Amino acid sequence: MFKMFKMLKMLKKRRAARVLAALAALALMLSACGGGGASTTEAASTAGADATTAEAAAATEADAAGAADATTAAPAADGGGDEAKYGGTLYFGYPYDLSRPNYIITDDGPGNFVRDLAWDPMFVVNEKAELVPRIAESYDMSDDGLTYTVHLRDGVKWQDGAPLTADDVLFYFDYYPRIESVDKAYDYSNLTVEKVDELTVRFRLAEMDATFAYTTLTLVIFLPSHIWKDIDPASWDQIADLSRLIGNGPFVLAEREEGGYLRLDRFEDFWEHRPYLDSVVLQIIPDNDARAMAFESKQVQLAMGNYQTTYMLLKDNPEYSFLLKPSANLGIFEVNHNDPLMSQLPMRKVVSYLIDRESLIMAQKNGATVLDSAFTPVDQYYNPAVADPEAFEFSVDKAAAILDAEGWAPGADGIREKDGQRLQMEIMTSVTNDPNAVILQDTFKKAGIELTYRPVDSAVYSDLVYTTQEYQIAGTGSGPSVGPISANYELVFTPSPYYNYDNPVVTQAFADAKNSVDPAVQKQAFELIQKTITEDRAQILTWNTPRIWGTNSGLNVDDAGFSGIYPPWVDFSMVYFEK
Amino acid sequence: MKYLLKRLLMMLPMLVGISLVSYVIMNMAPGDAASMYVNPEELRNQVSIDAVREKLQLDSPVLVRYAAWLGQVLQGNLGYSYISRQPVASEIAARLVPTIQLSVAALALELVVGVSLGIFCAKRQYRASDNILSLLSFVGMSMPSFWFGMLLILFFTLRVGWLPSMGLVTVGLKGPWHVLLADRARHMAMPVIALSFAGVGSWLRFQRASFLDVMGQDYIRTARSKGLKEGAVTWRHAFRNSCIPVVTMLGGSLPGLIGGSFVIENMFGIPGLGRYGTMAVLARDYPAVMAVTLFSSILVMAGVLLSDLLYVLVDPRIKYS
Repeated sequence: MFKMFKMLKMLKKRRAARVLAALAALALMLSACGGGGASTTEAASTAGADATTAEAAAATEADAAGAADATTAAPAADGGGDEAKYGGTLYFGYPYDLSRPNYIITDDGPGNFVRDLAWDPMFVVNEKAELVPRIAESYDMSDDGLTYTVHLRDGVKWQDGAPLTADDVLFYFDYYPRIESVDKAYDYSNLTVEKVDELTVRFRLAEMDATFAYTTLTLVIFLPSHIWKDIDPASWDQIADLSRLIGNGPFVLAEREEGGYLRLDRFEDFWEHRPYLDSVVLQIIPDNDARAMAFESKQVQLAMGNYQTTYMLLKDNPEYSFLLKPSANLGIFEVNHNDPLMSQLPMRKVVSYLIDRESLIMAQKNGATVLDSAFTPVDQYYNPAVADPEAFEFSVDKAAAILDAEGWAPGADGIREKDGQRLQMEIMTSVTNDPNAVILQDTFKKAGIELTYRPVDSAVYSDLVYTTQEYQIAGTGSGPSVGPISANYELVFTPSPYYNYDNPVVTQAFADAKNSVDPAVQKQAFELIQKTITEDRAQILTWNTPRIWGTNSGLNVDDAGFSGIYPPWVDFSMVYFEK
Repeated sequence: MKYLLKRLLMMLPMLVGISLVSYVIMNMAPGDAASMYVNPEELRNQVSIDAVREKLQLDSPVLVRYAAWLGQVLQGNLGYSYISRQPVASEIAARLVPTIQLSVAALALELVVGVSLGIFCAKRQYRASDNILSLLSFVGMSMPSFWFGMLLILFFTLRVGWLPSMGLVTVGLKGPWHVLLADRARHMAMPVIALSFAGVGSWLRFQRASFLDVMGQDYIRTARSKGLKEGAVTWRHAFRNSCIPVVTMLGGSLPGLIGGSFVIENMFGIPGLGRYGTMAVLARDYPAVMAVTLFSSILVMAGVLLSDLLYVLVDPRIKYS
């Protein structure tokens, strides 16, 4: 120790040491700049909002000063009531930037997020699968289900102050078919749109489509005709001018740093009420761990997605609050029904019995995942009671018994054989979706199956699964849906998620559901689908990973519609910081 | 001047060669770029895939496409990104500034700290301070930058709350220039340290070895025998000569910094060229990948050229004809 001290003393005398001292001083200066500012926050203390779920932390506690530090330029809110809710900037960490500057019809996470903020649809769907009016007041459906008359709300404005009228609705349906974009997904060729008056529009369908109310009336966001009428639809994807990309929602897209952040400011004339937050910033942080740490350090006040580790770490910390929602994020092992082994129901049952779901959940999701959903739980007609209860069972014995009955006998090394053929299977996943091959291989081996794990690049994976179909079992992230629309907005009136699976019962049930607007008929059809699919092991279902919404710094999201059937749609005009 | 012109002209065929090899290898990689831009539900529909392939001009042979790409590049058009549908040149220009800021700051820090400590260690060869710093330099060189970056965030952001860990600026911050500068400095502190940490170790070891080598030369003994002070021997004679190999490395280190920024930019949410390149590769965005490759190639060649030119400055014995 003395020697070290002596050495340091000598260092000071040396000229070279001055360089080091200067550098240290520079580092200290940089650090000294670290007081205040908007990005870092201080600890919270005040008891705050109610816990949002039983699973959530006991209560949100946020220090008013801390919350203010977490925001920029939060104005003083003296009065009580709603006035106290105004002010602050919400930072939200997200892994990706917009795919294209013109986000209006992009179907990706950031595009959906910005649309939630900058646009308001005619209706949204609540937890009971009911249409809740937004910029439309109501709709009437004809008895034959082919005509819908929509009454628009008076006083809705575009973000440049122009009124939103029936002309904008008509313009959209005229303009959309001419748009040239890789994002274009809808076909309106069977739809006729008429203007009844300035605030009334009539839609006529050429044939019955039970999805219409759930899709066109909820997902379509119109275009301001006074802006877009002069823009060539062929240049749609190239439009980047923010003054043209305006919507009718609570926040205006005001600034974008490519790959860095998006800033949306309050739209003062939003039809519903003056939004509480001054601004919302979508901060792009691609690295998962860095994003989680940004939430933990309260640089971002809202986290959404698969934050299992962060959730497990912070769920008992009163400074953070979590809301767990069922999601469409299902764990699925897709089986190729064209494969000689997987085309046999007994072999599909063997695979299902050999998936040790609880071990995989612990290994992959830190336990923050549920087992009990056979389908997408947020779909309207999800009913676990009709599903085959054994679809989630893990039993090496039952798998072995099936193999015995099928004539697969253990060989010298324990791997089963039949007619000189060894029992080999292969699971393929993208490298980013590792199903923990060691656990799978171990359980399969116990039943006498040699399991090969093939991780492939995500681009190759799509080709092999969807195009060339060169796989036997594939780990995917999407799953079957049991309602007119699934949580990820896809129509499910076709059995398309079940690749190469051909079951007339299921096909007919989908057709029955599509051709009726009677909820009772649809419920019956979708329950039959759930029952048949699980009994048939059309896919090997594993788990549902809940969507986790995390908040800190006193951010209150209780009135923001997070509990809706579509978690992506959130009424951000109702989000505020507790003072 | 003639030498410089000759070297610049030699760069052209090299660039063409590099771009050709890169283009072919990129297209040989498994996975169909067109299928990345098709709705997954349409992936079994060959018509949909073909339509996208035609739209992205992926329906002709690789060499034909390369020739078309090269022709456009020679006219100053780097093409349009498959992802954003925006001109690649403008996207790269937007991302260049953050990357250059990060890389130059990191290189400066590496050089100042690494070279200084290298000389310090050489002057105290095999003493405790030399051994400790040598050990630290090995730790720095061995530690992946993403891991060190995580440690920095854990301490400076989570533990003490001094530094922000995301982006280059506080969004919406307004104020005089020195406030904005300080804000940027705070945001850049951790990425710069993370990016330069391994480099400091390398420069330290390199400068130490070079300095020790020079200090053993006859002219150093002569300088000392003339009665020059130790400071004059060190800085006027030894330091300048020990920098010749360092200068050689200097040019080559710039592309390495750009490469390192791929990881650091992802971690700290910096919208730079590294992150742009990563996203482009993952999405098979060929025009963007080629533009980043081209830019990196130019940087490597410019770095080598710069090293050669700097030789003349630090060593009067060297002359190019």
